[in-house]
Amino acid sequence: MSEVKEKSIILRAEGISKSFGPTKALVQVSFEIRRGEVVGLIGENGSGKSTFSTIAAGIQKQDEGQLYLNGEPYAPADITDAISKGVAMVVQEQGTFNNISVAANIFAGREQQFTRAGLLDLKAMNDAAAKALEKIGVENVNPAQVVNAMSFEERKLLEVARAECAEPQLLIIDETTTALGREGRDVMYRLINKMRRDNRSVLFISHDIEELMNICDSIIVLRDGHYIGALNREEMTVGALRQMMVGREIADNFYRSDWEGRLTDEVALSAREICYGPMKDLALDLYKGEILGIGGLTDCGMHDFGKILFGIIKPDYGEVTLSDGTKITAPNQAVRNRMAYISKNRDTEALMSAGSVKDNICLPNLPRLARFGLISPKREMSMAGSMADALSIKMQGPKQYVMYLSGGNKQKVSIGKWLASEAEIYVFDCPTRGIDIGVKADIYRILTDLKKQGKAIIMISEELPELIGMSDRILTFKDGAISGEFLRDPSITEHTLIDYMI
Amino acid sequence: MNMKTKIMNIVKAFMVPVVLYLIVLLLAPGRVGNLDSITSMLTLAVVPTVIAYGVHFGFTSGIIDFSVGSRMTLAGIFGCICGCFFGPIGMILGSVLASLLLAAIIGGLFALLKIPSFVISLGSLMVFEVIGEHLTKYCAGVLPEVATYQYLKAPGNMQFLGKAPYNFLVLIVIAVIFELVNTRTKIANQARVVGSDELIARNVGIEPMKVKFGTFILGSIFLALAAVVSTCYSSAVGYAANMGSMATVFKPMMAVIIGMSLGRIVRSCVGIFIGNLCLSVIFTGIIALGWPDNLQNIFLGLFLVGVLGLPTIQRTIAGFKRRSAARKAHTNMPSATGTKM
Amino acid sequence: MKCPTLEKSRLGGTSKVAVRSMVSFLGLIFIVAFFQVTTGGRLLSAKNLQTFSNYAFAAIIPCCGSIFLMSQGNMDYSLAGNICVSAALGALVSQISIPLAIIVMIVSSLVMGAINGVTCVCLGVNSFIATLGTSFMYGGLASVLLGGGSLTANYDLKNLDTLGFKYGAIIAAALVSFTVFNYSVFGKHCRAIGAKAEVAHQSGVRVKLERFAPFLISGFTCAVMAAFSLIRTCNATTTSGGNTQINTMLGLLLGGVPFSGGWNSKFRAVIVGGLIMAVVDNGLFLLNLNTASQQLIKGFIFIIAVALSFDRENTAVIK
Repeated sequence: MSEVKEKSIILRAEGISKSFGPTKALVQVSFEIRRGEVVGLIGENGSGKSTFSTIAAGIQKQDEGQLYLNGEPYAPADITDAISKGVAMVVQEQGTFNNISVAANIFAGREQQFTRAGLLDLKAMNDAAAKALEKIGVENVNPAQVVNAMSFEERKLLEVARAECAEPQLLIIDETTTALGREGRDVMYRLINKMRRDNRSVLFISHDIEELMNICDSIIVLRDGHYIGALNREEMTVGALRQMMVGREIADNFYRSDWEGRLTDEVALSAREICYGPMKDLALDLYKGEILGIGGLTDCGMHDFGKILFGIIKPDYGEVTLSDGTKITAPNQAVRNRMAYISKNRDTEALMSAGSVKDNICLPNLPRLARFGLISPKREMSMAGSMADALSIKMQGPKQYVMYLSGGNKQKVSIGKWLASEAEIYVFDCPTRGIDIGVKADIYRILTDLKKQGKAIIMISEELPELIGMSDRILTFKDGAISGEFLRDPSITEHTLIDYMI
Repeated sequence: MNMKTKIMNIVKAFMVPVVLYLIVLLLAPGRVGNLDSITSMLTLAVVPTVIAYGVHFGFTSGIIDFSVGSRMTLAGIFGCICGCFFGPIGMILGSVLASLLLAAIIGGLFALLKIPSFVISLGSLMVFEVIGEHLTKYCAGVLPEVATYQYLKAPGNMQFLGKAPYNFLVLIVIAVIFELVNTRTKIANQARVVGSDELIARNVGIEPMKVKFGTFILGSIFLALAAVVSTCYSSAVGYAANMGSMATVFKPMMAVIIGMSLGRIVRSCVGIFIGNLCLSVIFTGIIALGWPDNLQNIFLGLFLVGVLGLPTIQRTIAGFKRRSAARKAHTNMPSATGTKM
Repeated sequence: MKCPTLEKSRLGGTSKVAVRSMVSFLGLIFIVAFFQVTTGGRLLSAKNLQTFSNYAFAAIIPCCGSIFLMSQGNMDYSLAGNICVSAALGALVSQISIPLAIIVMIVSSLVMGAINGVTCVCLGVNSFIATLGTSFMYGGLASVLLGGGSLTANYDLKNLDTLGFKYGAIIAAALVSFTVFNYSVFGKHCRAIGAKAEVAHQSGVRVKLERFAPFLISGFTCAVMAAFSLIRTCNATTTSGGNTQINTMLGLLLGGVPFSGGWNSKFRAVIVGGLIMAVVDNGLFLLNLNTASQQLIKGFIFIIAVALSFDRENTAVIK
């Protein structure tokens, strides 16, 4: 025990809090990371892990609390400042720039070190880039080549090289491995082990419990912005971690409590021979009174597939048809035919942030609300009001702008607008992403009710527990094809499904 | 890329204006089939190329700037005044200084107010144009040997710079400077980063507003040089009114876009010149065919729209190709079953 | 991580709108007072009523049409060119028959508006640049038609130049525009498109079509303006279009329409902003300032107006 304490503490967080309007992203979070340690950070969506990592990396500032780096107060002004102090981060999303070279990407923002008398020494920069790539074990990349033709994985590794270039004392890896293939992950693991040997630390954020258990010395669990606890190597078990993440046993009636399958054998929607991106001749039938779950990794094509079903994306080949033979080719036609679609990108595709709750809820329903082409404000308010009541939306009033609502309430507005349209077919894409547990339960209840009313529901999700808990039938997507079909059964676990997705 | 490929690429790129010239030649053989005409087409492309060099950096980072014409006018006026007192060096330095000052004003406004660049540039051009007019008239009163009420005269000993073949020499020098600045300065490199994705750029510690301000400053040097060459060519610098100076930036902007699309095979400095050459061939052709001047404006508008709308057209065509390929693949194997659930 | 550079402000959405409207209205009162004083009382005199009606017409009518464009975050820079071409064609045809001339003007303006729409919506070009390009085309076309001079129209048109007709037309246009903008499905769709076009698309709005339509509306107002110009002067010249596009943009901005449109676009901007521009133009005219000085002042006002009204919070990237 005292030997462990001998290892000096590289980062200490004390009482870190951060809020976004009414949403509390972090509440009094305190913990320590020691030198030479690989610490995992896990939690559900919305638990605050990314918020913490961005604060530590200098992207944003906390509202309260203090960070200490090597015992000194640490408050980075921006990312460059954080990097100069020894903290670097690699993110999940795309972080490289098109139309410029590999070397320019690696040293973006740090060109100063190659500048002599105002001019950039391109050769020196290219050489340094080659060396940086070598250090993380990536070969055969020409530093002068433009990155446009490189794959997502190759470009992600450039970002890793970028972070490692600065020889950080603390490397934060934020959900990066989820999008990498086998080789990419191996590069990351080798780097992590190297850092451990060099007595440097890694903060590894992921929601893949197995991966964390394999490489981390200890795992910290966050839930709803709170620090729940930390488990070291000996204490780590999947069950214990799950318990800490969710706060109760999963086999609750958090999801559905029944085991019955779909209610009817009437087909509501069919897709045939869909070709787009990785998808080739994809076919699918959706039945009335069914919750059809679709799961896979982020880039497997299922999100685009959802858009194809609603007519937002036009496939290269193939058709989506309703039971009466109508072909769905555009969203306005889908809406007219009683379909609904909720995008996973809540703030950019599903809701108008700079718009009121009322305007959002009424948007697809305006033609139906109109009398002689004009719409009475009273009817709009009453539609908004009744939806808000039915879904218990927490807001200051229907005129409040949606941007001020919490994630869960925003999602309720999103659902509300389609409930008001009395749709028969629903396509949900990641319906509970970034939502706290209480509202999640509400949304699952809504889904169950819709199913009981005989509606046809597709639920595309990256969260396996949700798929297992809620679906009558699960289809797994892999590289644009349906790799497996599972009917609702208590014996299905995340293990069963994950093999079909990776 | 070895030397041979590089040369082949340059030849390929130059094919575009050459083909255009041949088309014009076919339509109006008498008027353009002589060396004078070709020289004139090449000369017409010089000044817009230097302007394009000035506009390039801002454009890369996403800025649309209509004030270019009015700023050039002011720089030219100041250059002329300095040229008359301090000689050729004075003219160049005066122009550059005035241009830098104006760029600092407009860039500063943009960075401080944080409103879209074309709004700032539009408002600024309205102000700068009027200042240009007043300055000219003031000079006409105070320095009658340099200015009239319509324009300022270029210093006599500088006027040769605007004519062939000296103007081409000047262009080559400026092109070399541009290429150096474009590839080896921090601002130019960061402008490309910001232009690619501004949000990620912020995440790596680049401050987009600082970079954009820098592009105004950097570009203004080339604008000043363009003003000098232009003044020498026309032997005078006149002011525009009623927002007419907006037109100055269109050909250079189109040339920059053409240069970008040739970017994979030739360097920017060459690509931009080729773009301008295409435009000057076309417009000379219009005059040679005897079409009225007004038609130039119609063509200008059409081109602008066409060049800017090209990416969308390309995307639509790509979509068509994909879909027809998929359709063909399916008619060839009618029994495709795929995975069905 | 593309992080929250959009940290929400304390002020809620609705109170911001109220502040903005108040500022515009106070601005109007201030401008009226300013010019009333500096012109020695001539602005609000009975003699000026006729002149003012012309400025009011020229300011408010285009705004009635352009509010649909601006609420979507688009703009039409080709108004002047459109008006010139229509006026030229109208003048020509009016010598044959006035009703025919009106039809010709409407058709030509609608066609030009449609070209704008195609360029912006189908070719995906930014509306400002697209209409800038077309303004060059229309300007060129107008000078070809006018042959460097001007065209005279049928003198009978002068009979329509009455106060009643002008104010009547303004009120009618404003009422129609108000009703459609605030209460029709189309009007609400326009603001939704301005707020977030993709959301509107995924909610079943035919975004392409409804982004195209306002260009036709704008074109139609150009026809009205062209007719008005012929009625007033019986002449079509290259300046028939005047400064319409700048005035319209400026008017709506000063009236409180946010630069990128959306739900904060209120109809009162048409009236308040239109009146502000009418008063400014009338006042500058009474003060005998030449066009150059007017341009100078408008340049400043343009930058200030956008600087004050630009929604920086909801725009992640400012180009």
